[in-house]
Amino acid sequence: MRKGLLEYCVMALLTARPRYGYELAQELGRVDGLLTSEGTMYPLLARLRRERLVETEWRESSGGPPRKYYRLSPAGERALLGFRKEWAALRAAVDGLLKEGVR
Amino acid sequence: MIAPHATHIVEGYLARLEAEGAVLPADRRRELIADVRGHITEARAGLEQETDADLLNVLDRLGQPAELVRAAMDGSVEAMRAQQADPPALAWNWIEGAAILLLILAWPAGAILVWLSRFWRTRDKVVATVLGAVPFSLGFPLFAPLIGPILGPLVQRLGGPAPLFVGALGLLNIVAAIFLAVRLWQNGDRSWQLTGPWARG
Repeated sequence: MRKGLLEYCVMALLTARPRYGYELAQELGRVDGLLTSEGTMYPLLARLRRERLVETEWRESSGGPPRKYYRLSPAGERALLGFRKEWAALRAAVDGLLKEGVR
Repeated sequence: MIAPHATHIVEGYLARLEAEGAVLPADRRRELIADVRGHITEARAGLEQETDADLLNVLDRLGQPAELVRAAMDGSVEAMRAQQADPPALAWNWIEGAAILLLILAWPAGAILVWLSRFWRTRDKVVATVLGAVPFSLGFPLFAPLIGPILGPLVQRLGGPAPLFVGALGLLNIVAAIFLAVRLWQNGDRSWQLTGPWARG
């Protein structure tokens, strides 16, 4: 389940601006338990690109080698929008069930 | 400053990734290794005083090479399953079987199925279609007037065994069916080896 969520978290991080892989790993690493090993994010990004949910672009970096930037595609934006709605509904439902258990 | 064993540590990790990644399609393996290499470069650039321990921590956070390769395989395993969901086995059970049967009983339907099948080569399809067409043409009201004037004089000239000759022509569709069945058996053996899950070995 966490793996399915991870791809939407990656896409959510790309809504504001394009980011490069290492930057994404740092951001995701701040959320406890989301990214168990940073390296597994790269196959995920590659898959998102194959599914045309993200696009990539090489950009020069100051001082280092060029960086591969990931950007959300229009299809990715639509997928993320769909997930936001599903997630809101699911979260409300699960919260309701969990409260039920406490009572 | 570069850590004392930096090359050994980083290249050793990437070599293990390369070895584990042997199961991946070449382009995916190359992309994964390039992405991971880029990640390590970025992480090292952020270190002020790089030590061997720092590098090992970077690699620890990346995860075991086998774990990364497993993550990269998820998609391709799905793709492989999708390909297998379109199995030649199922197709050749009924299309090819029906094609052979109908080639004898109802040539036009059989011929259409023969051409729909992906199992036979074009050459085999042409041979079977033409062979099967002869008896069909003789028996079919539309074609008999066309074929008759050609075959009639031929049969007359041959004289004696003419009925036998015409009878033999009537068996040509059975010959075509047997021919296709043999090709099916020959090709079948080979394509099973090519498409089976053990094909890579």
